[in-house]
Amino acid sequence: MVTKKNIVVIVLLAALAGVLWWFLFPSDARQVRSQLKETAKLVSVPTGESLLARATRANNVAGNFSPAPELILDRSEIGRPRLITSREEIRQYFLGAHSQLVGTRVELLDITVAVDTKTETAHAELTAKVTHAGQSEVWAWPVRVEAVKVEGEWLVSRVETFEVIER
Amino acid sequence: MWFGRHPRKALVRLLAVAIGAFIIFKFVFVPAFVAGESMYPSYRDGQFIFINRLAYLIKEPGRGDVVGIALAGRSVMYMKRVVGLPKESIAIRGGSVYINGSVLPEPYIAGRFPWEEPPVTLEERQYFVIGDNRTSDQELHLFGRVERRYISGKSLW
Repeated sequence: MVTKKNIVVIVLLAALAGVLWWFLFPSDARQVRSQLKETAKLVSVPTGESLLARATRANNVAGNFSPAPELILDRSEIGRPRLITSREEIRQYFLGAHSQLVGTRVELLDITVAVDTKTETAHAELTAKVTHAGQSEVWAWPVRVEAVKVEGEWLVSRVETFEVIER
Repeated sequence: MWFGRHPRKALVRLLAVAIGAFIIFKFVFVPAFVAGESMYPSYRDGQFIFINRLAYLIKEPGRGDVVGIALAGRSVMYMKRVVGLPKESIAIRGGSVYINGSVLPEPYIAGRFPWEEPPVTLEERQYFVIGDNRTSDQELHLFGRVERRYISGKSLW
C-alpha cells in the first residue's frame, strides 16, 4: 500500500538523484561555463604572490586555452588593440602584465553558451567585469568566446571583445 | 510572537510581498549603482538609481532620455543620454552636438572639451548616445551609435 509517507520519500529520493546527476554529469554548457569561470579566477591575481606561484598561475591560465587560440583584445583601457595567437604568448602576456593585474578581480557575468555537439564547439557571450582593489572604477567588457572540446576537456579557442556602442 | 495570532496568513502575506518585490526589482525597476564619472554632473559616482525596464514598452527612446544600455546581459549596463534618434545625422563640432546641421541645446552639461566627430547618419533602429561629462579627452569617453535592442530601459530620475 502506498502511503503518503512513501510518496514523500520517493519524491525526495528522485530529487536527490536529480541533484546528484546534475552534479556528477554536468552538461557541456555547464562545463564551458565552469572552464570560463576558472579562467577568470586565475587572472584575478591576489596581492603578495610569490614568483613561483606567479609562473604556475601563468601556466594554468595558458593551459585553459587551445594550442592555437586567438585573442583579440580591443579596449582603450588596455592600450592598443592586441592579438594573441599562442599559449606561449598568453603566458608571456600574463607574466608581463602581472604587476598591473595584482589586486584585479575579474568576474564573468550574464554568460550564455550555445554548444554544437556535432562539431564539439561552443560559442559564448558574456560580460567581463574588472575591478581593482581600492578603486571604484569598473571596467565592463562585452566578450565573445569560442571553445572547443579536446580529449574530453573544453578549451578556449577564441576570445574577442566587442562594443555595443560604436563610433 | 513574530507572526501574530494568524501566523499562516502572515507568512502567506510575507511570501506574496517577497515575490512581488522580486518581480518588481528584477523585471521592472532594476536597481543599479552608477560607477564612474561619465554622466557627471547629472549622476555621480556611487549614486543609486533605478532603470525602468517598461519605459519603452509602448514608446521608443526619446532625445534627452538617460538610458541603461545592456552589454552581454543586464548585470552591468552603460548609462548614457540619448541625443540622436533613428535616421538623423549627428556630428560633434567644437564640443557641441549637431542634429541634422542644427546645434542641440544641452543644459545638462557643465563644461565641454572641443570634441570633433564627423557626421554620421543613424539607421532605422539606431540611436546616438553620449555621457554628460564632456570634460575629458574624447578618446577616453565612450559614445556613439547603439542598436535599439541594447537599450534596456530608462533611468527613473
